[in-house]
Amino acid sequence: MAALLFFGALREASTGLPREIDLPEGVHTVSDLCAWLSARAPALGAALHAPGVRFAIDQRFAGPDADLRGAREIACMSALSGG
Amino acid sequence: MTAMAQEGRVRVQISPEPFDPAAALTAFAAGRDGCGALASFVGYCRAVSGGVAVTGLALEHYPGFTERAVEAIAHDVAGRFAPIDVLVRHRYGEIRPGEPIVLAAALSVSRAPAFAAVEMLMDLLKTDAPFWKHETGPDGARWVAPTAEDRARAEAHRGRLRP
Repeated sequence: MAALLFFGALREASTGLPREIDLPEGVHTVSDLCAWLSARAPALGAALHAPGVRFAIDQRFAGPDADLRGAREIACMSALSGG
Repeated sequence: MTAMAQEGRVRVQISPEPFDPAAALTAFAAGRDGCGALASFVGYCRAVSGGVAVTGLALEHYPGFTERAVEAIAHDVAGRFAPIDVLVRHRYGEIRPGEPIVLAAALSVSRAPAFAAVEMLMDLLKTDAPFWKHETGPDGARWVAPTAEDRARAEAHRGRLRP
């Protein structure tokens, strides 16, 4: 079971989705998870492909090919806007 | 007189409280009279953004991750301009127009590395610090994203940090 976190505009677009998941069959990477989420929530799918979207696994930045298996916390983040 | 350690000092503070930039800079520079140059930048919450009034700003963060990501940026910049002291103070939560959001400062022997370090800190914070700005105005709220220029400036620095 992994916590699924959304930040920024993605948080709004992910309303109604679970905040904890067991990785579904066939979902091994960040890209796989995006495809799985997009199929369930088309509005979130569009937001996940917006410029600047980043991901973190267990509080470390992760690329699209990063392996999610064993992750305790998966974060999907809209474009960061600090400063 | 305190000599600068080779690595310099890195101070990062991420908190919701309003702060006084002048007092923070005075504390940062205290006892560092081996340094001849203090450069700083303060980012404020604007009352107008893109021609539209801003009545409030909510700054979301990712507890734990945000602190570590900002520390990583500060250490990268300190390493690039060593020896140098680096300070980043950044708020989250509800911010009112006119209040400071961020303070970035660098304390060095001379001005050139101090100016350059502050510029690099701010450019990297814009695109690599896990904060999300949600501006509220008379017509509703909107998420703020970095501009193409912001992205290009950060990318140029990344090339210099990790050749």
